[in-house]
Amino acid sequence: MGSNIQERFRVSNGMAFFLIHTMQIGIGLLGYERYIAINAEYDSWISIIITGVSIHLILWMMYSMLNKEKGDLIAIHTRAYGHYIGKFFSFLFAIYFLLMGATVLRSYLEVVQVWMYPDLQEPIFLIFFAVLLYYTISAGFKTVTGIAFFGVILPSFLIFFLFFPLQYSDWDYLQPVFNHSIKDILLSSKAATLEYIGFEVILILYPFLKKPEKSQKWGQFGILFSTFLYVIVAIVTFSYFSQEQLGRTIWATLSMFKIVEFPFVERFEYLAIAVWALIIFPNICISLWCAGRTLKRAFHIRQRGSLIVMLLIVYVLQLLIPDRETTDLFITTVSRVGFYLIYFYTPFLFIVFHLQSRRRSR
Amino acid sequence: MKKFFQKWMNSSQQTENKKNEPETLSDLIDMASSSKDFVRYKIKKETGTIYISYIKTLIDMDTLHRDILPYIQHEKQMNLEDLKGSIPIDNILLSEKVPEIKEKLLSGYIILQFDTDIDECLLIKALSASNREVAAPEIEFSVLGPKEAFVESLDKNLHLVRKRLPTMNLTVEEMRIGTTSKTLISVLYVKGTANEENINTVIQRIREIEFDQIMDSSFITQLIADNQNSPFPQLIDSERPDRVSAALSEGKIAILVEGSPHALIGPTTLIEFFSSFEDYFLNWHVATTFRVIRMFSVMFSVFATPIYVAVLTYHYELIPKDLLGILVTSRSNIPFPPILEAVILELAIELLREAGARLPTKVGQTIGIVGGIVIGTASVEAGLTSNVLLIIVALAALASFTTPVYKMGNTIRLIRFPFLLFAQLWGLLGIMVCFCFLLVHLLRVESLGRPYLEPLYPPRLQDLKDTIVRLPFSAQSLRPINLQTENTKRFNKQKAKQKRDIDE
Amino acid sequence: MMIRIISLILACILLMAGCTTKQEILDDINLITLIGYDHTDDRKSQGTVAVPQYKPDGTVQNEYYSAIGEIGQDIGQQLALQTQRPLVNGKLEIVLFGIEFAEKGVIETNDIFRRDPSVSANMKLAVYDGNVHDFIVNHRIPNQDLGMALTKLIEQNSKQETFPRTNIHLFFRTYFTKGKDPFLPLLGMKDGKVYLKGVSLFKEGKMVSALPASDLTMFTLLHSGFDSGSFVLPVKELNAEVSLGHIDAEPKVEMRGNVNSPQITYTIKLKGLINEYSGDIKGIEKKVKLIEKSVNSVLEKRAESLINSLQQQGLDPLGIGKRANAHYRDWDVKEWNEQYPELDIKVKFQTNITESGVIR
Repeated sequence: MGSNIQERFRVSNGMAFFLIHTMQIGIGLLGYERYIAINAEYDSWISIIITGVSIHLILWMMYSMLNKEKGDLIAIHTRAYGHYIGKFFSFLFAIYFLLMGATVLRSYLEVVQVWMYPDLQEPIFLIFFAVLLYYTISAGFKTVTGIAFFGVILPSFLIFFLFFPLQYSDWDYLQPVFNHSIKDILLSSKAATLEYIGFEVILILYPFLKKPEKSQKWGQFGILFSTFLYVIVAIVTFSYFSQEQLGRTIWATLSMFKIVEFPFVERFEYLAIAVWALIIFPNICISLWCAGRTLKRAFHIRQRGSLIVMLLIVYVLQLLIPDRETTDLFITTVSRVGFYLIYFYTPFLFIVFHLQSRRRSR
Repeated sequence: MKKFFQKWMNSSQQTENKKNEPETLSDLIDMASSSKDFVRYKIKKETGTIYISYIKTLIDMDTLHRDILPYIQHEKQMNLEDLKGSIPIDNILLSEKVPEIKEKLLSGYIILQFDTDIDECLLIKALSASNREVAAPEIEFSVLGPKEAFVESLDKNLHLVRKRLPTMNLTVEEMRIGTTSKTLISVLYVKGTANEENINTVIQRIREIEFDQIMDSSFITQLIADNQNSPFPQLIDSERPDRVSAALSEGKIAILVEGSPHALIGPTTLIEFFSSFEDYFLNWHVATTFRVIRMFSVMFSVFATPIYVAVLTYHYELIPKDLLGILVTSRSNIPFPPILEAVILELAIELLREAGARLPTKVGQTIGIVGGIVIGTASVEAGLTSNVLLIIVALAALASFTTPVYKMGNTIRLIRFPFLLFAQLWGLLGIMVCFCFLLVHLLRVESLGRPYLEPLYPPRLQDLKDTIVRLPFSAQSLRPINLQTENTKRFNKQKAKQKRDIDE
Repeated sequence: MMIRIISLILACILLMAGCTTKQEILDDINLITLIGYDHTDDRKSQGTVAVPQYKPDGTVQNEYYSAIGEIGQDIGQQLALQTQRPLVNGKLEIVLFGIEFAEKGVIETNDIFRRDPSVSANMKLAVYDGNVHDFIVNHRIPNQDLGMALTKLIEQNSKQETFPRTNIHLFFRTYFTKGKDPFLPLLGMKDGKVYLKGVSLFKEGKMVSALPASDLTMFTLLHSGFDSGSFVLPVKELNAEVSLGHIDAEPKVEMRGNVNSPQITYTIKLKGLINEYSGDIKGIEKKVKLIEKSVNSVLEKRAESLINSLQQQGLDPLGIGKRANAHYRDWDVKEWNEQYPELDIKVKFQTNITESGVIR
C-alpha cells in the first residue's frame, strides 16, 4: 500500500536510528530524574532498563505488523478494523501526534521562561518558530530526517559535560542497590515509559525508509541508545544530588550543568537551554509531519494545507495555556495517552491485526 | 511577475527578429553599413571586382594585409572557388545562407564577393586575438603549485584544461546562450567517469536559459542554480585550471564561458567551498590542520559578534568572573546598546572592504590602513565602541577572508547579520533559532540535484576522507559517492598500498 | 508573491519586536557579588550588598548598600530604592552570614538563592564571626572586588586541602541528606585582614558550634581525604618536628556488626613524603619506620578527639551516618541519631613515607 513512495523521497535505513532516538530524547531528559525517583528512589535506574526492554518488545510488535503489511499504520488499521473504523483510529493518531508536538514545544517554552526570559513575548517568538517549522516540514521528509540527524549529532557533545558533576559525585547515595520492593521499581518503570514515548512515529514513516524490512535493527539500536543515555544521566544525577534535594529540583539535568565552569564561560546551563532547542526541534517537526501524513493517507488532505492548520492549532494551544499547573496537566495527559497507546493499544492492535490477516489469507 | 517578464522579453524579441532579419546579402550589407566600424571596399582587377567587407574592430588587420590581400591582388581568380584555393588560410567557408553569413560577420569573419547581387560569398576567419596572456591566479592565489589562471579566451582556457587531461574521454560540448550576446559556452566532463544524469542536468539547464546576455560565468551560476533565492553559491567558481582538471577527473562537470576567466564546477558541497586547492599540495597533516582552522574561523566569523551581543544584552551570567572587569570597563563609556555598537562596527568593516575593493590596489591598501587603524582607534577613544568588540569584529572579518572561494566569503559575511538580529531579539535562544533556519536551509539546498550538505547529511562516512580532514592520497582511492560516478575507482588501492617486507 | 508577503509580515514583526524580552545589558546593571546578612532584633535582619564598580581606567571600587527588613524580598526592594541601576543576583559569588544570624537559621534565606535560577551552583556560603555589615563597609581592599576576594580565599583553601570543597549545592545536598550535617567555612578578622577561622557546624540549618583553625586540616582529611595535602607533626620519640607533604590519603569507613550495634573503623591509608625535618638529618632513612609509627599515633589521637567532640555535640558533618545508610539495608535515621553519640568509632592510620631524602 504505502510502498508507492518515490525513491528520491526515501531515506536510508540507518536514519531509523536517529528518527526513533531523537523522538525519545527531548525535553524529558532535562528533568525526568525526579519523576522516576518518586517510587524506587535511587534504585530507579534499574527501572529505566526494565522499561527499555519492554519498549524493545513493543517496537518488535510494531515492526512485525509493518513488515507483514508492507505499509504504514493507516494500512494496518484498514486491515484490522475495516475501512471506516480504521480511519477513525488513524484520525485519533493524527490528533495524538499533533498534541505531542504541541506538548514538547510547550514544555520547552516553560523551561525558557523559568530560566532565561521570565517575560518572553511568546506570541512573537512563536510566529518565528512556526515559520521555521513550516519551512522545515514543507521541505519534505528528507529535510525532516536531516534535522533529526543533526538534532542527535550536534547536541551530543553535551554528554561530555557530565564529567563536571561527576567530580562532585557521592556514590554513597546509590547504595545499597536493590533496596526497594519490586512494586516500587515497577511503578518507577511506569513513570519512565513517559520518557520513551514518541517512537510510535515509526508506524507512519516506515514506508519512507529505503529497505524498511531491514531497518528494525537500527530502530532497536535507537532505543538501546536512549536507554543507555537515560541510565547514564540518571546515575550521574543520583550521585550528584541527595534524594530529598532531587525531589525539590525540577530540572535536575539542567541544574547539573550549573556546575560546569570554563575559563571562557560560566553557567553552562544557559548554553544548554539554547542547545536544547536543537534537540526538541526535530521532535516537533517529526510529530507534525506524522500528523499531516496520517491525515493525508487517511483522508487525502493536502499536507501543505493541513500543516498550516496544525501550526495554527499549536500556536493557539501555546497561548491558551496560562500557568504551570495547566501546562503540567496538559503534558501529563498527553503522555498518559501515549502510555496507553504503547502498552495497551499496540498489543491489542497486534493481536487483532494478526487474527484478521490470518482470516483474510484463508 | 516572472511570467510577465518572460512574455515581455519574448514579444520584444520577436518583433526585433521580424524587423531586423535581413533577407539578402545586400540587405545585410546595408544594415551593417549603418555602423561606423563596418568597412567595405572593392578591388578592381581585369578578371572582375572583388568586394571586401568586414567589421574592422573585430578582425585582425595583420591577417587581412599579410594573408589575404596579396593573394587577391596578384593572382587571377575567376570565381569564389578559385579564390578559396588561392588564399593560404584554412577554414574558409563558402556560403549563401544569409543568417550564417551574418553570424560569421559578427564573429570576426571577412566577406569576399564578386557580385553584389548574389548571396554566395566567401567567409574567411580573421578574428583578432586580443587576449591577455595567461597569468598567475590572483583570487585563488597559492604559494605552492602551478601559477596559471584562466583568461578571457575560451579556446585558451580549453587548452589549459586539455593540456592537463590528455585523454580521449574528456568531452567538450558547446552551445550558444543569450539572445543578444550569443555567448559560447562549453560543458566539460570526462566520459565514463562523470554521471550521465549530472551531465544531462547541466546541459538541459543551460539550454533552457532564457536571458539576453551572458557576460560572465557567474551569470550561469545564478541562472542554473537549484535554489536561486539561496545566498549560498551552488557551483564553485575557480580560476585555476589545475583545480578544474582535478574536479573533472574526479567526475565533476565544468562549465567554461567565452569571455570569462572563471570556470564553474559542479555538483559541489558546502564543505568543498572551504577547501583550497593548495591543500592537495601540502602533506595531509598540514592540510587537515589548515582545513580545521578554516572551519573554525568560519564558525567564529559567523557567531562571534552575535554571541557578544547576546551575552552582553541578556546573559551577563555567562561571563567568567575574571573577564567581567575587562568587559564592563570597556563598555562603561559606551552610550549605545551592544547591538547598535556591533552593527556600526560591522558596517564600518564592510565599508572598508567595499571601498578597498572598488579603488585601485595602491589606494585601496591605504584606505585599509587608514580605516583600520585611525577609525578603529579613534572610535574606541571617543567612546563610541568598546575595544573588546573592536577586536572581535576585526577578527571575525579576518576570519571570513580565510575561505578560499570568494563568493562563499561574501555569503558568510552576509549571514552574520540575521544572526545579529536574532541575538538581539532572544539572545542565545535567538541565535539557536537562527541556526536552525540556516541548517534547514542548507538541508534544502541542492547542487545540480545532489545534496549540498553531503557527506554530513546524508551521512556518508567514506566521503568524509576529503572534507574537514584530508586523508593521505593512498586513502583516496575511491571517487566521492556524492557524484555517483560511472567509474568509482580512481586508482588501484592494492597496487598502491603494496608494502614490502622489512629489508627486502 | 508568497515570499514577499511572508517577508512583509516578518518586517512588521521585527518592528514590533523592538519591545520584547527584558534586557539586562551588562553595563546597565549592578552586579552583586557579595550579600551579607545580620541579625538585628526581633524578627528582622539586615542585608548588606557589595557591588563592584569597574571604572574606565581599570580600577575597581566596592559600593555598599544596606537595608533592614523581614525577608529577602523585602530587603531587596529597599535596596532597589538606593541604587541607580537594577541589582542582579547572577554574578553572586558569596553569601556571608553574621554569626548571630547563622545561629537563628539560614535555610529560609538560602532557599531564595537555591530557587533563583540565575544564581550559580558554585556560589559560596560562609559564616562571619562578627557583624557582617560592619565588615563589608569597613573592610578596604584596594582595587579588588570584595566578593571575589573572599571566594578566592575559600577556593584557595579548598585547593590547598585545608578545607573541604564547599558551595551552595553541596550545602543543600548535605542538608537534605539523612545522616550528615552541613558545615560552612567560618571567616574572621585578624590585624585588619580576613582569614579562614575555622569550620562552623550546622544542625538542622542552624549553626550550633565551630571547629577552630587548628582542626581544619584534620577535618578535611577525615571528610574528603587528600590528593596532595600536608601536615606538620611532632615526633616525640625523636624530639623533633616533621613536615609531610604531597600526602595522598583516602578515608575509608568500615562498618561491622548489625545496625543496632555497629562497630565503626575509620581507616586512612596515608602516603606522603618528608618535606622538612627539624631533627638530625643524618641517617633519616633509618628513622622512617619510627617516624611513621609516631605519626600514626599522633594522627590517631587527634582524629579520635575530633570525632569524639563531634559525637558529644551530636553532630555528624563527616557523614558517618550517611555511610551507614549506604551500608545497612534497614538503616533508620531516628535510631541512628540516638545511638550516634555513644558509638565507638576507631581511627586507624597507616602512614607510608615514600621518600625522606629529598630536602627542599
